[in-house]
Order: sequence, then structure tokens, then C-alpha cells
Amino acid sequence: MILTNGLTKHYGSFPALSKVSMEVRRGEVYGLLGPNGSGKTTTIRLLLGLLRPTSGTASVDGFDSWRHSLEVRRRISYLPGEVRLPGSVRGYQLLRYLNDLRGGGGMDRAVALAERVMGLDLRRKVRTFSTGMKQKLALAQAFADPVDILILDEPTSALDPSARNDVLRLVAEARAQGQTVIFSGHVLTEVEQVADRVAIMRRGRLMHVEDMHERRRNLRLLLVRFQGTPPSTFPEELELSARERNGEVLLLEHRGAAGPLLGWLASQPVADLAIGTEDLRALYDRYHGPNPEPDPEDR
Amino acid sequence: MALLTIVRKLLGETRGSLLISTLGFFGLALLWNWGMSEFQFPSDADEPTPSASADSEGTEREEPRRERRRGRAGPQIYVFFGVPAEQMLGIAPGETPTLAMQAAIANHPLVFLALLGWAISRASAAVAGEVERGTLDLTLSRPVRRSTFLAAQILATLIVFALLGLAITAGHLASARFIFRLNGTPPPLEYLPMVGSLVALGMAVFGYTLPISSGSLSRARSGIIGLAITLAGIAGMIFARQYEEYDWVANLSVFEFYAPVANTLDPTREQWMDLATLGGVFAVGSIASFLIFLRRDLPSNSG
Repeated sequence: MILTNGLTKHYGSFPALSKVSMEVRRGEVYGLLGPNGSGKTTTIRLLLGLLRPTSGTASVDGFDSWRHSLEVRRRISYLPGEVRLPGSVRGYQLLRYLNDLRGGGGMDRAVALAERVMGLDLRRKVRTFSTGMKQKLALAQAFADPVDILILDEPTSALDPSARNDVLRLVAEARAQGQTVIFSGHVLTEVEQVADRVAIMRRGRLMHVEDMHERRRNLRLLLVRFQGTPPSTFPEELELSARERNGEVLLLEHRGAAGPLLGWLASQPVADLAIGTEDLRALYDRYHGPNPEPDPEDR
Repeated sequence: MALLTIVRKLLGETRGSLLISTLGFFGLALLWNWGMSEFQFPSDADEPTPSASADSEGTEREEPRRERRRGRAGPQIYVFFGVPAEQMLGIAPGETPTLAMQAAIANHPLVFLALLGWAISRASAAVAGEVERGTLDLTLSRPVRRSTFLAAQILATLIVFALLGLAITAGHLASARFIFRLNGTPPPLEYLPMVGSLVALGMAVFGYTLPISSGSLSRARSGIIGLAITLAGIAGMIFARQYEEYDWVANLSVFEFYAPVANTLDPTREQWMDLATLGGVFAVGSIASFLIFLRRDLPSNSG
């Protein structure tokens, strides 16, 4: 559905994006993670045809994002990271304007979402709206557009907790209706909650793509305190590896079946045990934590 | 459809300023015609003059208020603002040409100021202003061609100038037909050359400012550059008038080709060429703007 191949964008000598190749599948929620300046917004703007790539290509549904930008934008509804709306118009007038630019198809749904879900008074001038209310208005329009693809750049950044939940619910609904969603954000728990796959970006490079379903299904973390010296090796068939060793305490990663693991644990001198799943933070910290993995391209 | 939607939004955003400007132009036209009427048919002409035998103090006390002004509107005002002197001299005030005197309002400094202000302001807001305030994403993330967006900016500006010209025309028409006594009532179509001159000058200034805006991220920068070009044009005109050997410098200024009175009175081929030159400046500027805007990056509003 969305494909980039060696996508690169330089501003003068500064590389805002370097050789990003990724594929977003139809009907999935694709999370984009990374700190400010990691290239998330540049990637999105290249996809929309608002920026011209220095090299490489981006395409949406087979249409080149730069050369056939109009066709691309027919298929996409975009929520910018920093929502700026003209203040002199009323909420209703703004929705009317945005819908008229797309042929008028989503007006009723946009009004319903804005008034009933977001709780906005559309008779008010936009300049009287708070930052969060403006974000809600833009979100209502984005979710109401009759399009195949939603690109949401930090959609919850200015929202209160209940509105954040509404947005996450709307993203889930969009996916259930077959829409493809690119969800760029900083809040790991939100991305983790909605994304099918997550791409982690760093300094304009795509560092890692993680399938969240695979991750949830197959990865367990075990925090084990042994009586005496912990084992230095593990049976290969258990698919067990040590992530951290701290005296008698080991942090273990387990990707295999649960039965053999439990059998092996029963045979070991275990003093204490905790089993859980890894959250996105650990993965994120591999690239943005205190001791990040080196980028092969940096060498 | 998208074009008209954007034009409607642009005009809606500026409706307050536009209303004030059009009312101002209409009011200025009424004032202008009042002065003309006073010149052509002085309202105090038939009133008895104060008695010569009256002592000067008593006379001053009893004079009507209007008698205390420094003098009636004289022909020098209209000559100064662009009515050719030969049209004024040797003619009785009541026979002076109403249409020419009305068209001379297009040379009034206030009209100039408003016109140039609108042209530079609209052009710098068209792209750079939208990028700067972050509202360009709103429109261009929808299925709208960049060329449609720019064409809408141009069309909205054209409508603004046409409304300003029509506001002056309405003031003239209302004055001549319903309010003031003037030497004749020119038919509405006679004002078209004046309106055309106003629109052409406005669009020319807009035209050379728009390419700067189309490639810029800062509204202030494009506005200042547009203003600098405009002031240089005015300075060039003054310079060329002072030094005969540098007469060609005037041709670099759009103001050299702005002649609303001459166009209104008796448009010759040369005057039509002047109008066409202003149109050409606008056309070249617009084409350059399209070329720049269609190729440029549109970075995010957060910088």
C-alpha cells in the first residue's frame, strides 16, 4: 500500500532522512517512533508529496508521492503534528471548507465526531478554541474523511487523557474498517496499544521494524533469582537467553514454548521468579536509551 | 470547485479589511465629488457678500462657517492629482470635465497607499504567510493542486482590486446622480478605464511580490522585499524626472505605466500599451510564481 525505497531527503548538507526503505501493508496500523528530529515528519511529508525527495522513491497505492501527489492525497487524510487553524472562521465553517476541498463526502460524519465524540461547539470561532480543542477538530475531520489511509502525526500530543482514549479507540475502529493508519508518536504505550508494527527511527534512519503481534505472542521476560550460582548456559531447545546478569539474579528472554521452560525451571534451584512480557520501552531504549546500539551506517 | 472554495475562504478571511477599504474608497469618492461640486458650482455663489461698510470684527462674527475656510477647492488640486492642465485652463469652472476630474482620484495618495498596501500584503500572505502561520498544510494535504491554490490566491486578489475600483466608481456614480451638482453625469462604463488602471497597477505590484512569497518561508521578508521594489520604483520615477539623460530609468518603474486619467479621457494606443505593460508585469510574476511554487518544498509549520 505504502512503499518507500531508499528514500532520502537532504537540506543542503544536512541529511534529514537517509535511505529509508519500508512497506506499510493495507489495513495495518504502522507506528512510527523516534525522538524529535529522527525523521518521522519528514517521512510523512515526503509520502504526501509536500517535500521532494533528494533521492529514492515513495509511493502510495502505486502512485509516486511527488509526481502524482494529487492522487496520493486523494487517498490520504493527514493530521499535522502541530495543528494550525485559521482563527477567523467558526468550527462548522472550517469543517465545511475542508470537506468541500475533498468533494463534500465526510461532512456529516465530521460534524457528528466533532460534536458528539469530541464535545466541541462548532458555532464558536476557532480562535476561541484551546490548543486541545483545535486538535480535536482536526482529528474529527481526519477520521471522517472517506479515505483509505490515515496519517496521524502525534495525534494525541495536546489532548487530555479521556480524549486520548477516544483517539486510540477511533484508530482501532479505522483499522477494523480496513483503513491503513500511520501513527507517529512519542508516547510508547499508545503506539504499543494500537500498532500492528512499529518502526523505530533515529537521526533520519529507519533502525528497526517490530511486529507487535509476534512480539506479544513469542517473547517472555523472566526475572529469576537463583540459590547459589546461576547456570552459565541453557538447553538450546528452550530458546532461552540471558539479557542481563547481576550476581544471583538473571534477566532472561524466552521465545519458545511454555511447557519445557516450566519443566526446566522446576529442576533448577530457583529462589524467586517473575514472568512477564516486554514493553516497547525496552526495544525503544535499544536505539534511544543510555547505551544505544550502534548504527552500522555510522561505522 | 476547489478553486472557488479557496477563493471564498480567502475573501472571507479578509472581509473585515476589505469592507473598511471599500467603504473608505466610497467615502473618499464622495468627498472628492463634493470638492468638485464646490469648484464647478459654488454653493455660496448666489449668497450676498458681506457689507463692505461693516466693520471687520462684526463681519467675521456673522460670516457663515464655510466662509472661514482658506479658499474654495481650486483647479490646482485637480491639476496636481493628474488632470492635464490644458483640460482645466481657459474653461469656466462649470464646464470643466467631470469624468476627468473624477478619474483623477486614482492618483490620490490615499488610494495609492491602500492599493499598494493591499497588493504587497496579499502577495506576501499568499504563500509565505500561509507557510509561516502553518495553515498551508490544511489546504494542501487535501486533494488540491498547488497550481489551483496559487490561482485561487491570484483570483481573490483580482476580486479585491476590482471591488476597490468599483467602490470608487459607486462613489462617483452616487455623487453625480443623487448627491452633488456636477457638470454632467458620465455613464458607468466610462469609469472602466480608471478601474482597469487601478486593478492593473495593483496586480502588477502583486505580480512582482508573489514570486518572492512563493519561494519564501517568511511573510515579513517577502513583504519587505516587495515594498523595497515598490519604493525603488517611485524613487526611480522621481530620479528620471530630475535628470533628462536618465529618462529610461522611469521605464523600470510600474508607475510610469499608470495613467488612469489619460486612459479615461482618450485612450490611445500608447495608453493601452501602458495597461498591457502592467498586465505583462503581473503575468511574468505569476508565471515565475507558479514555476517556483510547483517545485518547492513545503516544510512543516513547526520549522
